[in-house]
Amino acid sequence: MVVRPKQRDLRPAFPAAELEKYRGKWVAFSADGSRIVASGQTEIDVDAHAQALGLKPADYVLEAIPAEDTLWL
Amino acid sequence: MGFRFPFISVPTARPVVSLGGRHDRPRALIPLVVANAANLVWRRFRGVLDTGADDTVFHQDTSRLLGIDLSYAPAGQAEGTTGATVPVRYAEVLLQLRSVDGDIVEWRATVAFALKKSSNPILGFAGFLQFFDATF
Repeated sequence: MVVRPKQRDLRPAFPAAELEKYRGKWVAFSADGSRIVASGQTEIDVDAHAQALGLKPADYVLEAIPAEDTLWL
Repeated sequence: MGFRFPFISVPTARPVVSLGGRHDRPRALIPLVVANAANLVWRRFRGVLDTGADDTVFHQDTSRLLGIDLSYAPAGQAEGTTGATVPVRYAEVLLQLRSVDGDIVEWRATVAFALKKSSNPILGFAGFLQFFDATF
């Protein structure tokens, strides 16, 4: 049997140009991942910002945006 | 019960040589909930599934967000593939996954909190993959 590798072609989940603005920062994505509702240097900053906007923990997802195009090991 | 998560396409500023010049890197980033097992304060993150990681690791800032006191927590050391070591502290949390169909699974896990470069949680064997049969 020959197993052929599968090419995974994915569409970016978020516009690349928009994401560029947040390199090296933490962001809070909206629950559906369609927009960034807060950003900051640390997850604590972003969380405080999101809460100050009246958002609840269920309303956002915290994520770090890598500063550089480095590969992860 | 099963969970399926697609690789997330993360845009890159420069072409990725190892992927034929495409402008994104697919990454196994999955949404999860982490909660303080004592006070149930919780937050949602996207963590990186990492079959090569021994432990599940959060940044120490996450312990502050959740109100977890690590002062007297068991200590250890973590080493990455670059050889750099970082101190870690262990604490019990609740982890939760939700599927798009509304299925929820929640479990108690002992995870590490590391004072490292701030990055997304690493979902390794202890605390995470130990509870699942994972296929990619």
